[in-house]
Amino acid sequence: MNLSGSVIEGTNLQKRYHIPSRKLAEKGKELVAVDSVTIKIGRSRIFGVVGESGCGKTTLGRLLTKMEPTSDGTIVFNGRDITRLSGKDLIALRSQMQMVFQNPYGSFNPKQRIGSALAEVAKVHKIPKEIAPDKIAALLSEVGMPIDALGRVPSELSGGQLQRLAIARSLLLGPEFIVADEPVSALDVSVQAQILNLIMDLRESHAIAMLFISHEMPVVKAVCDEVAVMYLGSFVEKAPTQELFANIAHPYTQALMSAVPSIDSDIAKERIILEGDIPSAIGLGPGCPFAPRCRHGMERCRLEKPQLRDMGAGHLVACHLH
Amino acid sequence: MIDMENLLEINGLTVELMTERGIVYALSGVDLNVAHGQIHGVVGESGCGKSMTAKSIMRLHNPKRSRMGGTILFEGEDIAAMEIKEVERLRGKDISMIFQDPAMSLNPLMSVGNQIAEMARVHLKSSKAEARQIALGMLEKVGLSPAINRYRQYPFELSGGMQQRVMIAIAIACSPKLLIADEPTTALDATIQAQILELIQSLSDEMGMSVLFITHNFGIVAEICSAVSVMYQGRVVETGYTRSVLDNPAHPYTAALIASIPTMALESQKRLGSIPGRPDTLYENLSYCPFCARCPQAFGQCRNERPGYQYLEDGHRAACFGIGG
Ligand SMILES: Nc1ncnc2c1ncn2[C@@H]1O[C@H](COP(=O)(O)OP(=O)(O)O)[C@@H](O)[C@H]1O
Ligand SMILES: Nc1ncnc2c1ncn2[C@@H]1O[C@H](COP(=O)(O)OP(=O)(O)O)[C@@H](O)[C@H]1O
Ligand code: SF4
Ligand SMILES: [Mg+2]
Ligand SMILES: [Mg+2]
Repeated sequence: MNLSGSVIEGTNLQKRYHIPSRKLAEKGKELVAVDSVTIKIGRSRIFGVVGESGCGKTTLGRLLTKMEPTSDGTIVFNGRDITRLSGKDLIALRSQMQMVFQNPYGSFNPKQRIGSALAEVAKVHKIPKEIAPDKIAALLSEVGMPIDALGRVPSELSGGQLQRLAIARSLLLGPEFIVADEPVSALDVSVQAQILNLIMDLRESHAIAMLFISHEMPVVKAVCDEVAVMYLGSFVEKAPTQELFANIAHPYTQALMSAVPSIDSDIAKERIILEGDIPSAIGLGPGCPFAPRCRHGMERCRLEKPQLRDMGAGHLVACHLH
Repeated sequence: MIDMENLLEINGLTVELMTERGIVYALSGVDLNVAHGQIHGVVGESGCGKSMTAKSIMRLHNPKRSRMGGTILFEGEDIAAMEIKEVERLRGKDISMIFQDPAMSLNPLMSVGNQIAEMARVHLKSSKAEARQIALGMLEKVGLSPAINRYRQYPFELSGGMQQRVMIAIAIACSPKLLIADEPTTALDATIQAQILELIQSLSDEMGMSVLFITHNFGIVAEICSAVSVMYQGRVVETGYTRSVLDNPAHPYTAALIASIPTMALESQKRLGSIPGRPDTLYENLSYCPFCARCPQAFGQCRNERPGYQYLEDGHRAACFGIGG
């Protein structure tokens, strides 16, 4: 264990994709999916990344778990630089990093019984035969599933039940870092609440560092210790959860907040409706990525990209207004 | 809600589906009224029968594999009892519908302008030139401008949000009295969803059009619907003015659903309310409260009889034995 206590650390991460575009205007340009992102997640901490589709959330998760090579930047896992890790070492690392996805039906083989799927994971990663069944049983009870679920195939289970099992499977190898990519987005609200509660419990009991990806502000607020708001590849605001929602500073975060349909009648909220579509991350100009949609957009915003600045209390904002 | 005010009155709507595994009781007595000019929300978890209800109003079920009962009064006439020819005259003209996935309903091979114009040609018997003018007006109205350029575009050239605007333009081309919107923003990002919600609300205001807005999101209901019906297992278990239902939910299911929503007002890292278990597909016509197995307040009567509505103030009603007891 390293001294700073962080399990995973990404510094100045960048991911560029070359696009074989047919559109002339885009020819030869690059798509910057993740741009200079610095992130640090400690043990038993849930770090939330929120933003609209295409902003780079999944790519960031894939970079940190080494599913995808970085174009730039470094990744440190438990004090060890893993940026260039490959081959056997990388495979060994897989057991310590896990992902949970939005669609649990897509992450299980539809023909395979759950029990056999879990046993397979245990076998591949050399969990001794004598202890694997006990371990699986304990995890099942922890995620609130009856043992007879092991005899089922995915189609016999509901989305919520299968997501519990996906979480159990991700915990089987005792990982230290989990990326949960929109784990509740496909679930009904009452089931969503069950899974969010489960995630909060497991974070404590398994001392896991988690990257929690979502496009929904209230969901992120509900479970995360720290939150970053992402826009076109960059973190535009980042702060401990309480601090962020008490003092939202970035115009994009404000707009995103205002767009959340809310059941609370007593919150007199300002309606900010952003115009136009979410722009693509192809061939971004030199200025603030949000400038074309920002209601404050100033001359400077179009010329110079604002850097994340610490406003105190660990609250970072990338905006020329601050 | 007095009768005269209602554009749509659904009473005791039942739909039984003949499936390989037997009869599925998809709707088992839906009661729902939509007032003139009202945006009426229908909420509930997946499988509760929201889309089924919408399809019933449009009579889109396969008559060979389903059986429908009850009445659907639209301006006093029973859609459920109409010849299919009569229903076809209503569709697209007096009642139209939009869905979650606009790409599925748009014709990929026809310019979006022509798709709108076609509605006017078919239902209003407009001339080619008139239809084109109507389509241009509609494009402008749904915020797709300059209309003259948008007219020529094909669906694939448009983003999901813009495609949904086109769907709305097609749906309102004949100034329908009722728009049925089945989860029209579920696939959209938050900021785009906000645009579409604002559009539907302003169109309803402007045209005096009633909207039956189907969603699983209570937040959307709170933002744009003046009344709401909460469905559970093929039945409306609670209905009333939105604020009344949200602030004083009478049915335990409504209350539990609301408690499970993560809201911005909620403190971070607090446990959310949750409902144990889940509803099952109904292969029998229940003679007890469909929620009783999951209900924290269930008592003897709930397991033996099907609850009727208990009336609260202002048309707010809920099907639960526990009310007022
Ligand atoms: N393999 C790839 N090749 C090219 N572009 C990609 C690839 N993967 C992702 N992208 C692009 O990178 C951007 C970020 O994508 P993603 O990380 O999936 O966003 P999010 O998860 O926030 O919706 C998008 O514009 C997407 O189209
Ligand atoms: N093709 C089908 N076969 C069997 N049952 C169906 C079918 N389509 C719908 N149902 C039944 O109808 C119920 C209501 O479905 P639906 O109206 O689509 O729900 P919602 O729109 O609220 O998610 C479902 O719970 C299911 O039991
Ligand atoms: S830097 Fe300028 S354009 Fe960017 S968010 Fe701030 S005010 Fe808006
Ligand atoms: Mg993603
Ligand atoms: Mg539906």
